[in-house]
Amino acid sequence: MQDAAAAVPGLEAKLQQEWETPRGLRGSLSTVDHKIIGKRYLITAFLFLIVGGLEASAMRVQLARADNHLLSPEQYNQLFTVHGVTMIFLYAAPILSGFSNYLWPLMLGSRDMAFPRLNALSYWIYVGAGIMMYSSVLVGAMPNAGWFNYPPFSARTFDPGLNVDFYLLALTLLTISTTVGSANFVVSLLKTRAPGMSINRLPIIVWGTLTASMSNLLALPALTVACVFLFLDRRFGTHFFDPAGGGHPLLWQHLFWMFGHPWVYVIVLPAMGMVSDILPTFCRRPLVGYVFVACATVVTGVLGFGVWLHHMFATGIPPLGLSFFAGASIVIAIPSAVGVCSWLATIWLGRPRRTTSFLYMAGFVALFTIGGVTGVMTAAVPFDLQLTDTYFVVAHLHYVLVGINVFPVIGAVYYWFPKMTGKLMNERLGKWGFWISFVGTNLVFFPMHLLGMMGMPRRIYTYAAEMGWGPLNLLETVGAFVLVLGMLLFFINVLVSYRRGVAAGNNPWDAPTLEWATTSPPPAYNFAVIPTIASRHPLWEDRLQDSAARSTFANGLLLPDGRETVGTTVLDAQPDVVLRMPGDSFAPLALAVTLTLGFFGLLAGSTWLSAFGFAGALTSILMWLWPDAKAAERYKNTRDGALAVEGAGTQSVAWWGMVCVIVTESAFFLYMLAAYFYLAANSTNAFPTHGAPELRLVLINTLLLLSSSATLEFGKRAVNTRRSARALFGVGCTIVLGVTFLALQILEYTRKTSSPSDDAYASLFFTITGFHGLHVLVGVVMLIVVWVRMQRKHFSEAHHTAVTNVTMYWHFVDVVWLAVFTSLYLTPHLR
Amino acid sequence: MSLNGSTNPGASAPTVDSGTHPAPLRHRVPIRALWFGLLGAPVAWSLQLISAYAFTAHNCFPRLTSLAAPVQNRVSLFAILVAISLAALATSILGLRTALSSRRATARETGHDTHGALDVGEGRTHFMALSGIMVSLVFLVAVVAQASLVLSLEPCTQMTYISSEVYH
Repeated sequence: MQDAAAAVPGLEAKLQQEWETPRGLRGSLSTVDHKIIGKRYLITAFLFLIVGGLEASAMRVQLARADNHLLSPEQYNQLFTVHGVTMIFLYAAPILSGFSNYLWPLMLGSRDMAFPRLNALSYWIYVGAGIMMYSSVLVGAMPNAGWFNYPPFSARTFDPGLNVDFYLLALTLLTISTTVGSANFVVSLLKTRAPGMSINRLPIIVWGTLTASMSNLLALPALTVACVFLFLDRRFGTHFFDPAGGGHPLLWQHLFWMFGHPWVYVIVLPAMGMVSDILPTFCRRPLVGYVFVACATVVTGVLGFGVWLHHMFATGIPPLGLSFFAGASIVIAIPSAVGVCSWLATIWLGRPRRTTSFLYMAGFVALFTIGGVTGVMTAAVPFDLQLTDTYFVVAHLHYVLVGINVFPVIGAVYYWFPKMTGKLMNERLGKWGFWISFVGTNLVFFPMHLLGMMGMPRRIYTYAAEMGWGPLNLLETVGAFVLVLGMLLFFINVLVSYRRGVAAGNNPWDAPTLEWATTSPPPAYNFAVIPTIASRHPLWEDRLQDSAARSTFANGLLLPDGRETVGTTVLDAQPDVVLRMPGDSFAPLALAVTLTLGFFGLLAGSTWLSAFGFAGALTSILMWLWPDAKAAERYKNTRDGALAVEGAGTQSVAWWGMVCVIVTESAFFLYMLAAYFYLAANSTNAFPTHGAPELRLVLINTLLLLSSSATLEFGKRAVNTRRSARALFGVGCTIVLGVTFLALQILEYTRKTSSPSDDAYASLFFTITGFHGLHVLVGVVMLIVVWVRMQRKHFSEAHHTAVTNVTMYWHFVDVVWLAVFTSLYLTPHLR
Repeated sequence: MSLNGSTNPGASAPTVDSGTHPAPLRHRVPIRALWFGLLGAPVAWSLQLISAYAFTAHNCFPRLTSLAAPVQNRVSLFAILVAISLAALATSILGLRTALSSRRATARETGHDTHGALDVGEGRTHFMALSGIMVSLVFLVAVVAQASLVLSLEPCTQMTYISSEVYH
């Protein structure tokens, strides 16, 4: 059959011109190419790994012998806190985002992620969060309350410096980055797979990243809520965590671990996916029990939401309540064991090629098993009570994080480096690096189990010689530097191979997945012809002979007219729509910079800097979203051959993006309302102390907001039926009702005799209604944009995704209000 | 846009042809049944966990004070916990049963024996049904584990073996 690309002369040159990022500073700062962003993520995350490793080395030197005073207690506090924050937040998750950003469109047979500009935004905000965290060094106030930052220790009374503020604001910024990145992954998976790549034909790394991204959307808001509450406590005298005002420190622990435990799976599931995809390549056979492993990945993520209390076994909660969470924690061993059995069976039944990458994956299986077993041990309440806050827990978490994250990541670099650079890494140096790292890891972390059982508490800066912990600590320090040597060899290998590596070719490992079907490194457009997929191993079909169907690479969708890729259906990946992808833009960088400035303003307590930053962020968003005349013209072209262009409803990526926004924002309000009920249920005083709130004004306001949903629905339906005057009227009425709601809300605030610093109820009331008001304001701004666009005839029957999306958002804001109204206004009357 | 058959030779429509459709037996099972098979047990477990914990904490740890016996209500805490467990158990079993019947209805979709179905994962409908069975089984274990805790522990069991000086 004739090659499809050959039928369009100059196709590849045309696509290259369309998709390539221009050279120079302009291109560097405005690029939205997923491959460039992915590599930037990888490099930045590795830099943070090096910094975190240096911090760990300093701590190990300090602990190498008893009664050592190389570091002061305060320096040690700052080091262990920043080491944890760096490794967990700035290295472990972003490094996986880097791989997924680089690999997903290649693995899925697409030309880019669903939202390329969000991808760039996610990276730039991540950099901003990292800069903010490490700018604390400049003022000598690095975070110092541990990576989980428990109040009351982290409250202003006991930690009055800027240390904790740096932590709270940098992490809040990072949650924004991770959330937009996660939404992008979810929608990319749902909508931008190659035709034929149904959900049963996905690589496991995709299942891992999808599960992690869904977890992020649901769990990260808990961290955001916790950080916002504590920041308000510290800076504005609210009482979320202050028992004297009706709050409680345990609320932080609940919120933090509702986020924290799912996060553990966020930073391991994609890495486990790498193992599941790389091992089969080197074992020369498909993964044993693919369906089991795919299910185990998702099940682990879901169970991860039901185990947060196992971090709080020593807080005095009743044993029956704890036992529920202990049970769930132990059940997680089932999907984990499924994974281990599958990997071992794949090695056992295959013909392993012992490459460096394979060794790292095999090493992962060993380390994961040790970390997993100690995880089951600490899931047992009596055992955990004995070992809470000892080095046993430090050993467990390092086996998990180093074993399940660092080892697969390095193995994955050896595996995908040829794809990214076109060059192979040095195998001999790689194997030396592996064995040294493997020995070092076990030397530094295994003795920690023993020290924990000997009673050595974590987070002590030194210890007395008579405790008998000296020899094992010395051994750990030696192990730490052995590990450092192994890592050093890896980094040297990367640098040397990048300059002088042997040419790799398109598929040096003879791997089965789609990314190896294109050149190494891939062209800017990834695939000249969008492949059509017939199995899970498109490059091994002739060898496996699983069915008669064959994937096609030379014939398929060409999409040569601009930056286009194909949108497919969610389950079966049938071609559904042509997606027009946005090009390079400075808007993501501008938004990230201004947002970071706004956060620095909050840190410095500077109203002017905050206002400048957030006003700049708002301007950047408007510039980003405002459609140009060309785009409006493009919308008139509703069909392209057999497929719709851009599409509407579930065809559109924007629709799915809005669903992700609503999911994560719902979780945000849910955590805040859960905090309200938690504090209300546990309050020993009247809650609220000043009596139940007045209902007359709020009932009018509720009626107004609910009416606004009806007027907007009226406007949306008018767009569907091309009645533009009615549509303008409906949207206009909604804007008026929304503004009236906000005005009445402000009136209610001014009439109130209490302030947010009065008691926990007032703190919750003003914070929750304030955030809801902010959402109404955002909705009003979106409605104004839609109204102006309606006047300019930007929408048609076929293209009105913006109207549909803003309507969904507005209904969501209304539903949230009903929950807020019921909780904050009505329940105090029922007590 | 150019498709096979428009600017280049080949098929005339941008669809994967019926011979390679990833879910040829998709019409045999309603999509709602597949989703219920996948989500029934996890949702039941989640609700069981949250509600059982909330009731236990509220009745044994009111205002963060540990009680030796639950707060006296019209319905006992034990009865509530048993009812929650039974509801979760029933939903999980129903989810499992739905997934099993979906698997039976789509057994031929994979075109392979059981080994092929598990290792290769072909047939999207069959894949979802099979996944539903596995997911339901794991969560059924979790639901049973929690139910057995309700039956085997006193609702407000105290940690009498822990020194109060150490932990309070």
